[in-house]
Amino acid sequence: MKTRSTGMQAKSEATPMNSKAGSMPPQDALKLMILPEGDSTNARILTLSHPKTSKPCRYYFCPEKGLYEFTRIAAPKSAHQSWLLGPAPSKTESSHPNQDGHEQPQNDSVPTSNSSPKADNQASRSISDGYVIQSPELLIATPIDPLFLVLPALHAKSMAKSPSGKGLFLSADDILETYEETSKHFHAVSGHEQYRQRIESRMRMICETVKAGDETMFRLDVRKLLAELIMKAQNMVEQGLPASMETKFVRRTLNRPIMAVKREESSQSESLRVSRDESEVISPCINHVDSQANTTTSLSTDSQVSAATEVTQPTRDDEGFSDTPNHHLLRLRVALSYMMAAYVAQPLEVELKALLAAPESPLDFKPLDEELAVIARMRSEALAARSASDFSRKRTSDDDEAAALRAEKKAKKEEEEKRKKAGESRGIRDLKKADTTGMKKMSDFFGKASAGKKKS
Amino acid sequence: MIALNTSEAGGPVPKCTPNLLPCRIQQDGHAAAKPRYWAPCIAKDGRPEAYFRGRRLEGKEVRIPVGFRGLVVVEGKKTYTCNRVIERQAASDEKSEMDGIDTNGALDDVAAFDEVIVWGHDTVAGTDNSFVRCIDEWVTFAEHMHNSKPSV
Repeated sequence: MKTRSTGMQAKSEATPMNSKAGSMPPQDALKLMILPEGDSTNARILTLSHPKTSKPCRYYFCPEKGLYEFTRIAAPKSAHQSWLLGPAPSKTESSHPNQDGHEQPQNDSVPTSNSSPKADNQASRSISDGYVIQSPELLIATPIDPLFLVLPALHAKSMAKSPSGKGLFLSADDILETYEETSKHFHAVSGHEQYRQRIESRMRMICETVKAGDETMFRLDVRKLLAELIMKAQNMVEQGLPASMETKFVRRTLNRPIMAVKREESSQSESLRVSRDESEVISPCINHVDSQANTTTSLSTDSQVSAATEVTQPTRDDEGFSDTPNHHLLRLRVALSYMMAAYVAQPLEVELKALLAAPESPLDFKPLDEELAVIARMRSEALAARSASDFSRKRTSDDDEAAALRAEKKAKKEEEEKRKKAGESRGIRDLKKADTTGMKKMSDFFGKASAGKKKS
Repeated sequence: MIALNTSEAGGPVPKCTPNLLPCRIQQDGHAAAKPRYWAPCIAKDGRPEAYFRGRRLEGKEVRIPVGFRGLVVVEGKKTYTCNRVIERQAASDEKSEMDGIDTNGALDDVAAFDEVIVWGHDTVAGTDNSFVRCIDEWVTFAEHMHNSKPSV
């Protein structure tokens, strides 16, 4: 919402506060953050290269809590939002505690702000009284597995010098140092003994290891990495995907098209309906897809018969959502592809995906793929059935477009004429109404008269 | 590298409530959110409600997830905080010297918050609001994704 009044609001708020805004340089703008709880004395905000894009990104490292990545939430500028820091909402509307007291600390803190801790306190007190932050931003620190961070270094080192294609075993020091080359701040993380051990133990999960003396050598094993990712995905699915992800990527994808089912006229859709009903009756769960694929193909050939025999009322069970194994598979796939898309660099991602698609992959997505293919076919069939059988519409959609184009042209023309008319004076408009048939043209007079004058 | 100066010594930081207004205010800085202009309250149905310049706003409270805290931070004065950081680091451990030199910035916290209120103009912000979704969903999702079981 952007209205005139909000613009005025900004101005009216700014005017009495001008002196204060001047005392606070713009780079000192406040930021909102959500950080892990607890002591943050030794915590640092680091710039490390992102595992996916290898661009520098901000991370939060707390020796006790671990490593966190920052996510910046920002509404687009078109959303028209701003922060207003203020007091918590009061329970009762009428109570205005110390209404007069609000003004005093603010006025006091103007000259002394930011010069001493005491003044800081004063300034902060006035922040809870009211502070406007123009850009609606929020930084959230969420935990990140250090495994993802060392992955690029691990991958590069393991694969680079590999004449046999197997890669070399490297010590943890080498791997971490490789990463430090790109992100210097990492030494704050790897220098921390306890956390370093944690990183090594995470690396052990995805690497082949060899003992060389008392040192462990690592080499990335893509299979182990995939197994680890799948374990993560299973964990994520067990805990439940976020609601928005669930609806967008799981339910909507596995939803069957309803349009085709509801249209009674179309014999083709009739066959679809039958096929679905039957399959739901016949096959409880596992063989769901296969049986359905069969019935769809067989029934669509003799749809007349099936339409005749079809008696039961079709009921859509959108509300009574049933959880099939395919949903579980799809959830796993969504979780996996999210992790790969967010944290795994491109070359490694390709490798992992190939491994996942290979026949010996630990997860078999075949039933899911089949079901998705069936749904895709149903969708396209439903679409085709709709456009072919839609006799109630006299024009096709192409005609509609043409008509819209024509209407637009007409409106444009009319507008042009209107504009032309507006430019004319009243006298000319009136003259236009006079019957000029049989009269000489206006230009005749001038041409001949001037010629005659010249003669005489 | 940026250090974080939480003012534990100077007592707890004051609490405030960030309000995400459904309008853009072209201003960064103090604003007297006096009860006369900004008086959010809990309506009878338990939802926050406020009137902003005569318009009715409905709020949705989004609590900070458990294990996290909300902070309002401001970029500290560099020289001032750097010294402090070095001092503190020197006391804590020996590799700090490097850290202290490397520390080229600091953030001072000025306020804390437990919840955020996302306001909608005559509507309640739903899950399609990115702020609501991120605070509610992203944090737990990331935790599930990255919290590996304690590996042997």
